[in-house]
Amino acid sequence: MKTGRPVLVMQLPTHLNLSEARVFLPEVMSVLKNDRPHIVFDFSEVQQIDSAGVELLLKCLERVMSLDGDLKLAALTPQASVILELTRIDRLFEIFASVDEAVESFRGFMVQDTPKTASTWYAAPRPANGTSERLAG
Amino acid sequence: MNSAAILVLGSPTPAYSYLGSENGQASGCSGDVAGIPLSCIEVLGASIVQRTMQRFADAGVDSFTILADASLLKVIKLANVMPGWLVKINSFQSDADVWPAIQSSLKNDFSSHANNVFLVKLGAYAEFDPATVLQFAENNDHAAVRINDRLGSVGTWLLNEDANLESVSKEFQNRGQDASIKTYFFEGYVNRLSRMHDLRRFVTDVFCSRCAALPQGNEVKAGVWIDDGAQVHKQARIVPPAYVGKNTKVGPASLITRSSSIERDCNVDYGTVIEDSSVLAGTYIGTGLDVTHSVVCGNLLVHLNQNLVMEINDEILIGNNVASRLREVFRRQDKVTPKSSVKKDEHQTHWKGIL
Repeated sequence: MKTGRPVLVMQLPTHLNLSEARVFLPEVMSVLKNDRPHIVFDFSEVQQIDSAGVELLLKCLERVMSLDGDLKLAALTPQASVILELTRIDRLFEIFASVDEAVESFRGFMVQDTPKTASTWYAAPRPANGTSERLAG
Repeated sequence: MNSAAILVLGSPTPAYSYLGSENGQASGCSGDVAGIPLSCIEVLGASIVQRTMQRFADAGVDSFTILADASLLKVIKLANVMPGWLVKINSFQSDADVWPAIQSSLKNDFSSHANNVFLVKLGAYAEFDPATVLQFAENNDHAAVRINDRLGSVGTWLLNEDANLESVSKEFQNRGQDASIKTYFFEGYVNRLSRMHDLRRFVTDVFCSRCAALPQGNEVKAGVWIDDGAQVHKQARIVPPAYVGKNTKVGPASLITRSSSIERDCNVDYGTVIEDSSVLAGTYIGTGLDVTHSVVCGNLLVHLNQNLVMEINDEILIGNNVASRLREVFRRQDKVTPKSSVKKDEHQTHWKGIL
């Protein structure tokens, strides 16, 4: 498991079946304690997914959503892509070509990276020199 | 004038051989499904072998011999290929035995008063008119005629007793053309069925009337063919053109669309969408799935857009249709059980047998 702040990247096993899901699910649930978790599942090694694997993804998504976080999928192999399409769960997730792109996509949601909006300007008056600033991040 | 036909079915590649290729890509695959040549697989209710034999029979060919690899005969029942027809079936063990087996069959046919014999190396589906070829050979007094389309040979020769079998053997084994064999060109429909994409192309070509072949069964409404014993739920939607094979069950809220075909003894479960796909005989497709741009056979899924072959070992998703395997058992039980003791299925009214 690779961890980074604030996005957690998790490598999925090669065979996402019942036995692997039983090991993997408690591992995911154990890290889903903080509010608004940001998680990326790395599918680059996945060669096989069965219905237990699909259920695992749905359980993780449900848990992450209940904590106001987000779960994104990255680096799907063709096999994984076909199964997600077949089971129609591809439409429930944001899917990225690489892990880096998926991690990058979370930046837009981080408060410190958010550009100042009109409402922000009302809270913090525009500086005299007129240059736009970003909050420290 | 008597005519005969010898159909040669080549040796199958080992089952799932293509799965061994890197990343499961269907690169070399796919003149076969699980070791069975595409020409032996039922598409729209009949295999290419059956369709070819029917075309020859319509042209007056009255004697058929099928020469097949012995390992192939273990996995397919050629005896049932044309019920009611007298078809001789011979096997060969290796590629080296093929030509001696053909020579022996030719000798038998000529000795049993056949004047002409069509030798067909099965693989391609070609819509030439056998009667016209016979006429061409007779008018020009040719002993051996090869049949070509614009891309070359379609794997069929017409021979009479005077044909030089040495030169035919050379062509049959792809060792170049021989000048003693004359060429008959035709411009009709040909599908060489060399890979899985060709199988889907054949289905769409039939639906779009690009060839003379037709789906089996009855056309219950424009572009929708339903075969005997198929059960389509009243809440299922079938968008033409589509084909539902014998004894196949299409569940509620399912959708069959974009030139899809579902062969015999399949079960498409609740809410599943079959789009631009072919489901081969005896397959179960699970609940709430999206099968698109694919050919599915048992637990094998060939995704044509991704050029990917996958074995899915989860019968909740796709797999062999258990119902089709047990049907014979239930039939036997039905014969034993008195009618009065059979409990009526409460949900039977939801199903409509189209035929």
